[in-house]
Amino acid sequence: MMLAWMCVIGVAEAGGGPWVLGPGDQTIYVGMDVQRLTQLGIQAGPDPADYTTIDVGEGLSSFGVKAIANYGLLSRVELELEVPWYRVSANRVDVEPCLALGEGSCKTTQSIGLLRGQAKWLVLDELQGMPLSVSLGGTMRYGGFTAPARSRITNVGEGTTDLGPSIHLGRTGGLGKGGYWSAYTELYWLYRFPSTDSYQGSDLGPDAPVSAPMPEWVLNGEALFSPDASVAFGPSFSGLYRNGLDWYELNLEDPDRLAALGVYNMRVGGKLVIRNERGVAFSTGFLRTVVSYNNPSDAWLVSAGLSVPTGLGRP
Amino acid sequence: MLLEVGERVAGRFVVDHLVAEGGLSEVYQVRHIELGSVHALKLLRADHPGITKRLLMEGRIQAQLTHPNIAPVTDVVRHKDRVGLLMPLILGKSMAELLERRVQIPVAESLELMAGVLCGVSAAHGAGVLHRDIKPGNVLLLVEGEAMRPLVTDFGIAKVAESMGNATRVGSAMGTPGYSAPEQVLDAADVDVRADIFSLGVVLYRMLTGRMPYVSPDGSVRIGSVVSEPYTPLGVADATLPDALCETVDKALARSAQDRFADVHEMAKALLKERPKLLARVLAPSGIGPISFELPTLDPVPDGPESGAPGVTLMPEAAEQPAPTPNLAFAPAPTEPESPAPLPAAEEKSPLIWLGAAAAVLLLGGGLWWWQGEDPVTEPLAENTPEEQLVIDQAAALKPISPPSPEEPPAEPVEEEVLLGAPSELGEPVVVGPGPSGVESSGIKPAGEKPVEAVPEGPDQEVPEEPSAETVASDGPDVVEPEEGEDVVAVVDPAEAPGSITEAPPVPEEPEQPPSWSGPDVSGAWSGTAGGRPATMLLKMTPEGQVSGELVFILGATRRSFPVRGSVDQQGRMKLSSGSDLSLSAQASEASINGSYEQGRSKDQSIRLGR
Ligand SMILES: Nc1ncnc2c1ncn2[C@@H]1O[C@H](COP(=O)(O)OP(=O)(O)O)[C@@H](O)[C@H]1O
Ligand SMILES: [Mg+2]
Repeated sequence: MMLAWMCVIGVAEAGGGPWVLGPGDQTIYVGMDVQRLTQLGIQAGPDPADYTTIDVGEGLSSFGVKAIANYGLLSRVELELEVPWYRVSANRVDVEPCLALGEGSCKTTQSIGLLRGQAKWLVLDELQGMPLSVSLGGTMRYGGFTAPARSRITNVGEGTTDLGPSIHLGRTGGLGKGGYWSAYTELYWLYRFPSTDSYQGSDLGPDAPVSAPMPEWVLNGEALFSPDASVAFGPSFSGLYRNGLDWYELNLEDPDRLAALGVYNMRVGGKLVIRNERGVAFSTGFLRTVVSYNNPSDAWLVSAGLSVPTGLGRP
Repeated sequence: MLLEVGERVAGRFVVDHLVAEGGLSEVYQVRHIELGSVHALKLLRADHPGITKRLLMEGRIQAQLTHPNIAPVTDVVRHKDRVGLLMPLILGKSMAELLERRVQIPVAESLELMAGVLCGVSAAHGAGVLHRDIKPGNVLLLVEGEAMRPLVTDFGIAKVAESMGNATRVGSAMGTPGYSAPEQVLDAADVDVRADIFSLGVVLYRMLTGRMPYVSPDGSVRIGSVVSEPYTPLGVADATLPDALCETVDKALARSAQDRFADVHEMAKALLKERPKLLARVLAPSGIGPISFELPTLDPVPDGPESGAPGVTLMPEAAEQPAPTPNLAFAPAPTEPESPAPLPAAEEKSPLIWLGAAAAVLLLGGGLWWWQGEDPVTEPLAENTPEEQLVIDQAAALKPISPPSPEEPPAEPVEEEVLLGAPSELGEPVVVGPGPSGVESSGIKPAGEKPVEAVPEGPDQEVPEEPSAETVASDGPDVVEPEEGEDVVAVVDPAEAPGSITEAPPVPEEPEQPPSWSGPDVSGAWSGTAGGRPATMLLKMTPEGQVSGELVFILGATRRSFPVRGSVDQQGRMKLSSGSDLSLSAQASEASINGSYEQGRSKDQSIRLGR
């Protein structure tokens, strides 16, 4: 379940949207994020009225550091590589979800998270006959490092390898007086090579075995306003949807119990970027869960990091 | 309410009224239309196939566990897609209601009621069934004359030895807060008869003291309380109770299963040492033959008016059969080591590289570290610490010696009478209901009369954690210096074709401009889009059309600045460059700049800027 608050694509630290670096251009982002939650919404029974929010004692928190490198490969084609490391811990382990999921399910986990590589190809430039810039992407995630702890509520991933396309739409314009705005939204679909295709739910679950996890949709967006090029701020959002079983249908003895969960959530927040003349940018942002299903209902994420242009493509 | 009063059910019953509401069900009093007999109908609120399956299993278990202290199920009734279980109506209602009215039950009476419960549970265990949800609400009390016979009911989350291992689910198999054993709370699939022993202990503790044995400091009882809260020994909760009784209850309530009684018979032997008659009943063979829990492969014929009336046995007699062979796999292995509470695990070593990266960010982002500041790791299932054990032992030792309980007659042959606690046998007759002598039973002790001394300290589970961040000298990426001042290019000839930019000496030549400038004034701030990305430009302009300034591309979070120089002519044709890194040609007006540029290996990029 933590997948939905931990490892989601999004929180565009290194930039998001359709825009790509010029060939040979490089940037590196190094940042950290902290997340905290105290409540889980779960579908505890078959009736919609059985949806309840349970307390996670004094909460779960995570701390992560990550590095993201971006590289302009060709004209209009950019590569991105992300390497995160996470530490997730429960402030109390003697609370309901930890107890329900069994001993060790709330043990502190620290591990390399999901390695992510992405290629993005700018297919339409808003200045060339289109009102929008559009790029198409392909993402691959590798979760091998997260597999051993995937059954924990404190996992940092579900141990799968994921692959899928994405589309990124964006538009930017002047604000006058040297200011600009930019806005984008992007949609990812990820096929998640299932850890198991014979996950058998509880006696309240489906009769036939299912595969877990199911594919995942991610929708992100951000709008930034920049009175001049040195500062930008604005709202952002990030949503996730995955089909799967309800909490009450889970067979809790299977290590893929959390991967089998069907979840969705929507988090909204804001972002602030401050850039110096050399292009070094400090960015910070937060996201807060506003809608969730079988997922943390009050998660906060705060991130901060530095982006540095490390290479300029030369002719 | 699922059913209306007067509604016909399954063609042969009519609803009298709602009796009680359970977790997933409603229980109605129904009347057989043709026979006039009165029954209880437990009807599922949900029509979910999984829950239905479980109810049918519950019915099968209870129907086959024919025993005087187990509530019988006599039929399955289907009504409008819902499934229900038909039972004899137990008029005395449940032990939960008794405990609501009478906060404490005297020792003798508690033991008599408990003996009946032990009989029922022991019979279930003998047949290979774990109840897993023993609590006052699941013990019905049948009023028989002036006495009460306990009937164990609600085998809704029962576990049939090994055959239902896959059936765990949250919120149900975990049982009931305060009554479920610690190991059941932690893993409901991995329990044995000792989990039921624990619950029996809680029920008895509750009867004797009106309190729960494991309570959170705020007075609440949560599902995890049995795991994490300190135990108040029975002798501490009520110092007037006999020592032997306290020891027995304390043992049944041991947090670790291996410290409890190995089975119900052992518990009964300790509890009923002084009541040989009651003990003999518990130890008597249950008389339950082999039972089968396989669900039928044939769909039952739906109920209808044409279906015959079911044979309703109100009070099944205990059949005289040899005791079934106890299911050996089901009994706990006495020597089986309980997996010890995991000590705070030494955290796996974190890759130093990421701590280094964290430190680099720390220099800048800094103040967010408080988030990680406190991170106590508490461990579940801590055993009593030696200090606690000392307190417990002292409390037990200091307890005033209670007067010896009245001598029981020596063991008598097992009576076939099912009724436990016949008036003649009871110190205080038990009367249920609001009758004249009912509420003021002489044995009532209001709760709170005696202060309960809770064990003062909880297990010291807080393990301070090593600070997780080791600060490593910052070794962040090198910052690229902008190449300001080198390779500055001035585009001299405004008439030159776009794109053919020539290198020029650093000092720009004087452009050939008329003295009075009539072209657009491009000085000031611009912003818009370049190459599909946000871009801004700040320009200064001489009266002769010489232009210099800075063009900024926004690249993700970062930005890239290019110092630019060039010119604009009277017609607004603008050429700018930044050494060999960038060249731009555009049509400029007072309000807009539209054109194209090359930057590095990116050719023919569009740029559109406005004010
Ligand atoms: N045969 C019965 N006669 C009278 N009351 C009953 C009977 N069976 C159950 N009840 C009442 O209904 C309540 C709920 O029944 P139970 O079987 O425990 O259902 P649930 O599984 O929903 O908890 C009991 O606590 C009791 O008060
Ligand atoms: Mg019940």
